[in-house]
Amino acid sequence: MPLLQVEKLSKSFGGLLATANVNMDFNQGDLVGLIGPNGAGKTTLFNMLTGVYTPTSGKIIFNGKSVVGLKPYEITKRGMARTFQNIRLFSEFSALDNIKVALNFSCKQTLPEAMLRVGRYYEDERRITARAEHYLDIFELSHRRDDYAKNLSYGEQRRLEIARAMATEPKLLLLDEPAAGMNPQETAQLTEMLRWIREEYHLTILLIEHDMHLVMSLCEKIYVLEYGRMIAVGTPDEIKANERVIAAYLGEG
Amino acid sequence: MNKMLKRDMFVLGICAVLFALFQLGFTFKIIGSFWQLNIILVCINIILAVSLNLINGYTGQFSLGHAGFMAIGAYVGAICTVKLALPLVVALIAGALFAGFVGLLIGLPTLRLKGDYLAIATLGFGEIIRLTVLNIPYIGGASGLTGIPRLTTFAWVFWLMILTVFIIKNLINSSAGRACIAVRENEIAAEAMGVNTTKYKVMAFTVGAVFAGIAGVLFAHYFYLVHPSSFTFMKSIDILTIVVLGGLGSMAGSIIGAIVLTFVSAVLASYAEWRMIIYAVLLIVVMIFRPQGLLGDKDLTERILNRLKGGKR
Repeated sequence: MPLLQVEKLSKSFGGLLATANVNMDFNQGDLVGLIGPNGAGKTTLFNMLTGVYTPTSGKIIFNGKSVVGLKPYEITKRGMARTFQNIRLFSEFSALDNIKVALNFSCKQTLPEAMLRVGRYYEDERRITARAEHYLDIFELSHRRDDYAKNLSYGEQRRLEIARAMATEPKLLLLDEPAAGMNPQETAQLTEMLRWIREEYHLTILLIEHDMHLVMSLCEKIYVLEYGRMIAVGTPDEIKANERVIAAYLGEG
Repeated sequence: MNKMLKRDMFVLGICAVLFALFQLGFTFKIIGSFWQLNIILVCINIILAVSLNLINGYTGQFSLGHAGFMAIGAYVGAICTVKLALPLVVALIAGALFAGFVGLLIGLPTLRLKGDYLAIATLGFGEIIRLTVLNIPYIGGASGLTGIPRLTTFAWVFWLMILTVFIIKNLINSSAGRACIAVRENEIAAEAMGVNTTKYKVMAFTVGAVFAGIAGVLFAHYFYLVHPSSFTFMKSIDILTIVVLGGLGSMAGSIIGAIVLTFVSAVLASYAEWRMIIYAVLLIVVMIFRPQGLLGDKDLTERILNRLKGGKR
């Protein structure tokens, strides 16, 4: 059974059809790329998967269950986490606290326990602080532990966003342009990191990316969107050779 | 974590000393009755400001209905002591719970709104509460409810103020508090990280209402009477002014804001015609030179402690 199965997913905003009859499916452990020109509907698709938008029609089956109509936080609890194209960190929080927010729903304390600092409060704090430090460590951010997220460098902010998403312990990680604005060295570092976390956590990753080098070297399966329609799917080599993809990116000769 | 407990104990010790000093001052008439009244008002205003700060400053939900919850606390508390002859403790609990309950009822539908729309909706609900009270003859209607025993003592207001600050400070530093601040910082990201944003907004709103209710009970039992005109929209604005002046999202800011503004009002009370002008000028000056409020979103204790440790933040 595929981990994620998307069937005939459409979303229209008024008269504009942002995505039309999109089909996708992939298995646990796959590393999948989603590419396409600007405005093709990639982020719209992400927003539907994570519950930010409700699809106009179509099905999304995640881990055997439909997630259409669920709130984003409910979908996150079911094991789907994401990052954002325009970084959305909690800028007034330290790097550590950013990750602790993602661990919030694993806390067992009740409100009175938190208010009076009794019972499970200390246990929760100790546990989630340790977990958060663990993720900071993996993403090489330990030295920025107590710095405000807004003071981190661009590359660090991107990494922190992935670390924060990872802290929700997802089965499927959706990355919206993780390498945007990174220099080649940072991109190479990120590629290695993604490979590593996928092995370590048996993670499935779906990523939107414009950096073709990253997509082609990292992904095993690539979907191509153009004007809201899925025009191609296949391995990197198949996609590179696909006439329609070349036409979409370079224009027809 | 034990360090935290030690710090709490240390702060509690300082509070006890402060309390003893003020209490001695009152008993030996070193502090006159005018200042005693204002010190009690400061404590009530701190409870109001800190609880409104939880909603407006930390959770970022712009509420203008705080006086309404204070009114509920005041009237429910007064009914308990005047009509039912119950002790103050029961009045406090009843006032707090009832205000919290109404906060929950109002919060559930209105917190779907954002920004200006939420402000207008909460303003409306605040007025609805006041007008409802105005039209119930059982609790005095337009002439107010009189004959309330003066059960509020300095000890009650002082320690309830400390309790309020302690509870809300703990809440802010817990996972629920982080969730609230995350809602303020970036609602979409918070939701994507598994935070049930509606739940935490309603929680902050309800907890804020509970403490506004407590402040209302204390207020009613200090001034012998409650009157609908004490809880107009202007009262909500007064509390909001304290919070904004002190700094949205700063606990110490709310406390200092309450102290400064209560005493400024007290001093200016003798120049009635100048009062609002000076008050307004003061606010304009603060907003021009420190738009983030006196303390920004920093907490004084945190800053001092970090400086003592030589850490940077």
